[in-house]
Amino acid sequence: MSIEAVTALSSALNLAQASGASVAGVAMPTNPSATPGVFDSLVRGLQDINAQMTGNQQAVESLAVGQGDDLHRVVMNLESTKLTFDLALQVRNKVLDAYQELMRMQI
Amino acid sequence: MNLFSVFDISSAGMSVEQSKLAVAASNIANSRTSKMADGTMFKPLSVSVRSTPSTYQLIAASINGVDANTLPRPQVAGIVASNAPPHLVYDPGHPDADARGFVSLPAVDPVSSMLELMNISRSYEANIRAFDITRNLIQRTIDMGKAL
Repeated sequence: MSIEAVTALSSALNLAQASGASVAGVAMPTNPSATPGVFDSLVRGLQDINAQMTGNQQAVESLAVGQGDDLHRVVMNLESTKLTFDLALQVRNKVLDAYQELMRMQI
Repeated sequence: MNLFSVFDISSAGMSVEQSKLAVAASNIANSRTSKMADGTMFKPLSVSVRSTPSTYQLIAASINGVDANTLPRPQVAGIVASNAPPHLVYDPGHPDADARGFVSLPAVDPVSSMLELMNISRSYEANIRAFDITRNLIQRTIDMGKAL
């Protein structure tokens, strides 16, 4: 499923937002006019993680050629990114669980 | 209170210990340096560490809870030279020997240097341990409620 598809789903899933937002812990969208969906915050979090990963990659590269930041800072940033990614993964799992729960609902 | 900012505190501690390690290594490496390039004596160096804010400021600010971002982080404030008198070693053939044949060597004590190295190593490990525990706690918190 592409990110666009996930974003499109978000408007249909506003029902689950109340439970999802408390789980997310990531920054909610700053645009107050549009009602934010669960996946908006998730996508935003993923973009943040992506930026962190790019920064980490540059840090590791500059470390490998013998210049750049302190070693422990680079390792700490790597760990930090890994934990953030784990958190996003857990949020995604929970949101998906909630979605599947809704889909299974008897009408 | 963000657990991730505990990383920064440990990181600051590790940076300080690295500076201390570099200075201690320089002292040991120069323990047989009789003269610097400009003709002065090598003086054993030590690192002075300061952190802000002061404890009193911190206690006053902690009424609304602890914010890890405001906790004191150690920072290297500068390098201090020791004024201990140099060791005099009798070596008349040495190019830096004085009229009586004595060479002045820096007052680097091998025993206290080793002790300093050990302290640095232990402090650095303690910071790593604090970081590891913080990381494990974050991981456990993320996994909280996950079916095992």
